[in-house]
Amino acid sequence: MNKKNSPIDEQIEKINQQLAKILGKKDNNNLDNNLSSSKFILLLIINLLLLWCITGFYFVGSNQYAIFYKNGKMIDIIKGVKIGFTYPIPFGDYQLINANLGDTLSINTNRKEWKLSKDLKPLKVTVIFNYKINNIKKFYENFGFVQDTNKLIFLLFNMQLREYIASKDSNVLVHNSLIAQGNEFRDTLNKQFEVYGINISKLYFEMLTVIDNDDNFKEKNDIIKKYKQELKLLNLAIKKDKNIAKNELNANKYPLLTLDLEGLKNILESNTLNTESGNHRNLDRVVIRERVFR
Amino acid sequence: MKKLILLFIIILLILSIAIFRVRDNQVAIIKKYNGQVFVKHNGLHFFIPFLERIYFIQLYKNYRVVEVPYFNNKDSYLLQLLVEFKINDAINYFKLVDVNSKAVFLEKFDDKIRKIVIKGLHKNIVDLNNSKVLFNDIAFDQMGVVINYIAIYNISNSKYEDTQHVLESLYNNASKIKVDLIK
Repeated sequence: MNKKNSPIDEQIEKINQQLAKILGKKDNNNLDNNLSSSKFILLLIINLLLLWCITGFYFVGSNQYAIFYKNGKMIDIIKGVKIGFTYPIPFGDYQLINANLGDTLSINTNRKEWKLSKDLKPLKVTVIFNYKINNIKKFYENFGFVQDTNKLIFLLFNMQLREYIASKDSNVLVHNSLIAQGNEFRDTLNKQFEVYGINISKLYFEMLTVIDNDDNFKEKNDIIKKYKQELKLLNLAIKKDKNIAKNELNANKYPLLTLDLEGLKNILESNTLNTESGNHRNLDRVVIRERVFR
Repeated sequence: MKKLILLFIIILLILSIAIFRVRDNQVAIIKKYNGQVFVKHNGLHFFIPFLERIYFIQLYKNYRVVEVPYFNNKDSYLLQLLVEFKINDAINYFKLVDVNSKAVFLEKFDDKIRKIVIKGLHKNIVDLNNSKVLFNDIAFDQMGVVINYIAIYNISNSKYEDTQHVLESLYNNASKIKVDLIK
């Protein structure tokens, strides 16, 4: 019994035929037009070779360095803009690096990072500097591809800064010209950093301040001693009679105890103590600000 | 012939997956399916895909800041040390990091540095402040690293900071007494 094909069946038949063609079924009518097997293989190999050669194509943009490798060994470094061919994968490859490696950084020491001078005085230092990677080969050989260059430079710089501060007395650091000291420190740094391919182009000290000294440390301890004394007296008064102690507190017999924490901290910081005799004492602080350039 | 072409393409694909290069200042650790590890240095190498795994380890300079408390004539100081180190035995390093983790490695590393500094450093604070590099060329063989140098990164004198903390604790104590008194 003959069954008439529906349009859907015809479409499926067409798709089947096309798939068979793709998978290699030969069309009996076009046998003569087909390429011979050897020609086909030759074409395929040439195409594959071409594709492989293209893997050696490179483009280095402006503000970029390219580091070239052959069998994993660094062979060349070029700066863009350049287009060309190198050894194809896996024999050769290249890595692009940003050529504008450099930044302006500042170090502002906080309480935990005060630098001790040669005479062991803690100094607050604010220094601003500008660095540039001027020899990418040296830099790369030492550190490889650094994720955070600023962090690395900061570490190396901070170590050198401590050494510089520790090599001089606080009087010299505070009273000498900040410009001259900045230049001197910059020259020292550039000698040290030359092996890393790093150059410090600008450097200036914005602040070099002696934070504290043994004299005003003694003053601070005196405030603490007075506070402890008042606390002791208050405790004794409470033991005798709570009401009397309360009245004494209200009558401002314990001036330090009546202050809040901020008030106490201010006294400690400014070293100004309102003593019983009413005298104010201020300790001199040496603060020097000098702007070298902007 | 078609079978040959197919075979050629499959071989090419497997080769392209199996080949890898190791750059300068880098080593590749190949970990076999049975846990055995071996190291490959600079150049082109092969591995067996799916049965072996590759880990690349960089041999560049690394930096780490380690904090060590230091006491000198009753005064306490906080030493911050800058340690420059390199991995010199990739297998030992890898075994440690692979079994534990990088965090455990760094913890052990810090402990070792602290022990060396506390044991070997008998300087007064003036000499210490004037020092640059404290120790040179130390090998941590079991960890697979070599220390190029341990230098002073910073010294902070806690003497000048303590006053704030002492005053704060005294204030808290006084506040409690005052509250009790008002009740």
